[in-house]
Amino acid sequence: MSNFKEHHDDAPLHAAPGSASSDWELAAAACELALLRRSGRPLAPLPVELAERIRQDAPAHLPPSPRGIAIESVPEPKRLGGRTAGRSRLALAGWCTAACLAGVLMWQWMAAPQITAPPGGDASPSALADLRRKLLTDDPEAVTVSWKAGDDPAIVADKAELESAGGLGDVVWSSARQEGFMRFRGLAANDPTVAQYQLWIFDAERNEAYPVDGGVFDVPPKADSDKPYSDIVVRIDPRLPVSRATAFAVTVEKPGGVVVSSRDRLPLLAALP
Amino acid sequence: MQRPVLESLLLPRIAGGDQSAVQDCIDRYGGLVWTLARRRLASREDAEDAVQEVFVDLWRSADRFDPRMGEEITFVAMITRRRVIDRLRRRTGLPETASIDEAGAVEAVDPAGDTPVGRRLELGEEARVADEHLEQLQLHEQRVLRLSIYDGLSHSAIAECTGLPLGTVKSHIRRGLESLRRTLAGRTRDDHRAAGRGPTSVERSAR
Repeated sequence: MSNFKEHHDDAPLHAAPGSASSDWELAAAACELALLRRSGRPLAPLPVELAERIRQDAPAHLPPSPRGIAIESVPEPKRLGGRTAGRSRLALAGWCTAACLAGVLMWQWMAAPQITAPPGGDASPSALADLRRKLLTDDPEAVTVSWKAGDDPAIVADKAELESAGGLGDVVWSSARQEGFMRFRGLAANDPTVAQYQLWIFDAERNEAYPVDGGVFDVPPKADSDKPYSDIVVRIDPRLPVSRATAFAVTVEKPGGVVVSSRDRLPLLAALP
Repeated sequence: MQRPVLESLLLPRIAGGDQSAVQDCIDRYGGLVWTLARRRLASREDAEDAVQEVFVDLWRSADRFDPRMGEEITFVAMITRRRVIDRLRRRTGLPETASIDEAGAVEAVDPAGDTPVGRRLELGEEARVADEHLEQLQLHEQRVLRLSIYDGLSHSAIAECTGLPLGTVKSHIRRGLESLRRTLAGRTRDDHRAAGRGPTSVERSAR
């Protein structure tokens, strides 16, 4: 054992994030910051060449950026008995509620549909649809809620056509599994270099102003021009645990998404009753 | 409209694969990580390696940062401490320390200046709370904590330096950190209780 370890027994201050001991580490870190602050000394700037090395090295260690995958239409959503009764009325009420929660509802956007993959995953489009169905089967507590359209050009479908096609799609969410899927119909294709769609999950346990980031996703151009509306299926990938989801909102953001949305463009919202 | 205060958080963007957040993260925390590493590692090469390891850790574990648990800057400082201590442990002999002057204060920027580094001297709300907490401690307790946490001295070195028994040194450190831990945790709980979840310390500090 080194002299340092022998005499500097700070093992409790050194544990994995999230473990009980990491509280001690955070306290020690806060203490060091406090003493650094108290010293009044300025921070030394990171050497430029070192910063450049870190920047160049970063892509090898970053998590993959979510990507979309085109797919053909998906079967109608399997609704849970009783769970979707009165859905449209409830969704409408939910829309109003969530709109209040969100504080804003004025948006706009673009054109065409299909299916995307789970963020960071390589699941095939049909596999996503299967996973969605499996989630509904495996978790009887999973909820299904329909999307309501905001006033945004991202909704490119004609309402009558949408109704015949089964609506704008829906959200399936399993609180127990912290997992879910979204289906979209009549949502405009996006150019990922210009803008991306981003999901937000409102959680009853969190401040309404700061919904959980559900990840960004793309809607690729429609592959089959003969079909007016094919479905997009996207796996929900919350960045933080969601205790009790109350609403889901889709916004249009810059590529890569944002930490907090200005909510200038909010084409879709689904509120749980 | 309420200002989106979470806008200042970078690690969630990193966790989301947003490569544009990399430069922001380096800009925001590079100076802090470098300063903390240079204070404890006398060798510039060691400090450079440690800083690179810290950022790799941040890229890889960004999704483990939870703003409900504390501020982003404290999380970054924790990762930095971890890497520096790891590096010190891998070496034989007592930990090396270097003052900020030795470690490159000549490169430092005026904290009152308008440069990013200067602005970054604001080390977060938790640092302020920790500072206030330290003020509540007895002077000899403050000194022991400072020698341990800030100067990186071993427990036995602190005992020798202060004349306090080794057991007393250890208990001062443990009690001091435990009370600070409770203070920070209680503060987080209060924040959450105040507004359903309420803005975290991170959010408040970003305002």
